[in-house]
Amino acid sequence: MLRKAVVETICLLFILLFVYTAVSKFIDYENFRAVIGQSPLITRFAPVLAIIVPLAEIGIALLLVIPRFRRAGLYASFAMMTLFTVYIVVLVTLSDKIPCSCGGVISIMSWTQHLYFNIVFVALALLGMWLYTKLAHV
Amino acid sequence: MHPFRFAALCVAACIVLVLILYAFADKPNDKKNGFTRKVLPQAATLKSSLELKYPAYYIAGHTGEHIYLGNYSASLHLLTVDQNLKDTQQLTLKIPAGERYAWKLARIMVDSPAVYMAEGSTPTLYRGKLGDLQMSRFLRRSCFFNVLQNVSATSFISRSIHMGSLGNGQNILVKIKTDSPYVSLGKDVIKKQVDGIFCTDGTLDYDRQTGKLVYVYHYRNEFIALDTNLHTLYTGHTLDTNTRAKIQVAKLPTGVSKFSAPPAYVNSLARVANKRIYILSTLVADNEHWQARRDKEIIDVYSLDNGAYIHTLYIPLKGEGRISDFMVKGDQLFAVCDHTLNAYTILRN
Repeated sequence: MLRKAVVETICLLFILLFVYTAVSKFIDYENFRAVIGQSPLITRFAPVLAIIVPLAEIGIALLLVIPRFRRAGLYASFAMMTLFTVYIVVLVTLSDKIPCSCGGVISIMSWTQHLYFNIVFVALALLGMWLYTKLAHV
Repeated sequence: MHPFRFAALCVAACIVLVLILYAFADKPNDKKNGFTRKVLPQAATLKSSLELKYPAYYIAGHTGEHIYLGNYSASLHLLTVDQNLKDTQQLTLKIPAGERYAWKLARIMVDSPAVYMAEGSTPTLYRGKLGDLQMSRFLRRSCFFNVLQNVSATSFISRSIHMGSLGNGQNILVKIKTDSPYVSLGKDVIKKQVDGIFCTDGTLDYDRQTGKLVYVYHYRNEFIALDTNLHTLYTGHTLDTNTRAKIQVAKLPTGVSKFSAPPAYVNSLARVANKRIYILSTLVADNEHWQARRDKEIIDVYSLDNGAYIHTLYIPLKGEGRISDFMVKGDQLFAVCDHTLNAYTILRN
C-alpha cells in the first residue's frame, strides 16, 4: 500500500514538473529559443529543440497519467532527467558560464542548485521505476 | 527491462550523446584564427597583489599616487590604495539624504580633484571633490546613456541609444556639456553591422595626455580614434580577421533583444595610456599554443598616433580569475582579477 502511494506521488511530482516547465517554455517560446541557442552545445539545434523538448515533456506527462503506460512514463522520466543532468554537468565543467532557460521559477536556480534538484528527480524516477517493477511482480 | 539495467544503459547513452554534442560544438580558438603576434618575452612581471574583501570591483581612476576602485554592488563605496598596493583606505561617497537613483548601474569616475558618480537609466550625475566626497547633483540636462566617460570638468562623452524612424535603436556616441547645446550627437561614428546595439558594443576610453578618445568594438577587429568633438581621426584594425561581428540576435515580442547564439568575442577590454592602446584580446594567434590563454591574458599594444600594431604583452595570471578590468600607468599595469588587484611592471620599449 505504502509502495503504491510512493509511486503515485512520484508520478504526480513528475507530471507537475513536466507540465509546468513545458507550459512555461511554450509561453515564453521566443525567449527559450534564444537562450538555448546561447549554449555552445546546442546552438545549431536550438530552433528544433525549442519545440521538441517541451513536446516530449508533455508526452511523458501523458504517459504518466494513463495507468497502462505509467511504467514507460517512469522510464522516460528517468531518461529525460538523466539527459538534462548530464548536459548540465558537461556544460558546467567543460564550457564557460551559460545562462539557462529551463522554464519558470526553475530558471532562477544557480547551477549547483540546479544540479541537486535534478539529481533528486533522477533518484525519484529510479525509485519509482524500481517500486513499480516490484509492485508488478507481487 | 530491469530498472537498474535500464538506468545504467540510459546514463551511458546520455553521456555519449552529450559528449558527441560537445565534440561537434563550436569552441573559441578551435580553428586557426589567421594572424600572428609579436610577443615580447618576459614583458610583464607580477610585482604585488592585494586581496580584495568583496567581488565586483572595477577601476574608477587614479591620481599621481593612488588607485581608486569602485564596486558594482555598492555604488557609494570607494576603495583607495597606493601604487605599491599598500595602505588601503575605505571611503564612502556622501549624497544628500533621500536621493533616488538606479544604484546598480551607477559608476564612479575619479578625475582628480573631482569625483563623479553617474548612472544612465534615469539619468543621474553627481559631482564632488576627492577631498570631502560630498556629492551633489549636476548636469541635469543630459541624456540617457549606457556608457559614460568624463573628458573634462565641463564635458562628457556618452554612448547612448538613438532611436531611428523605424523604431530601431542604435548605439551612438554623444557629447554632453554643462553649457549650451548640452547634448550633441556624434552621428555615424559607431557603425552598425547586425542589430545596432549588440554588434556595436565595445569599450570607450580617453587619454588625457593627448585628448584622444578610443572606441574598441567587442566583436570585430576594429577601433576608432576620435577627438573630443567626436570627429573620427582614424579607424584602426586589431590583428585578427573578424571584420564582421559574428553574433546572432533575436528580437523578442516584448521588445527586448537577446543573443541567440554564443557571441564571438574579439576584444574584451581596452585602455589608453602612454600614447598606446592596450587591447585585451580573447583570440589566440597562429604562432601561439591553442591553450595560450589558460594561465595568462593576452594584451596587444597599438600606437595611439595611427593605430599600428606594436607588440603583445603576456600578463601572467595567478589562480582562476581572469582580468575583469585593468589600467596602465607609466610602466605599471593594474588588473582586477576576481578577488585580487594585481600590479605588474611592463616593458615599454
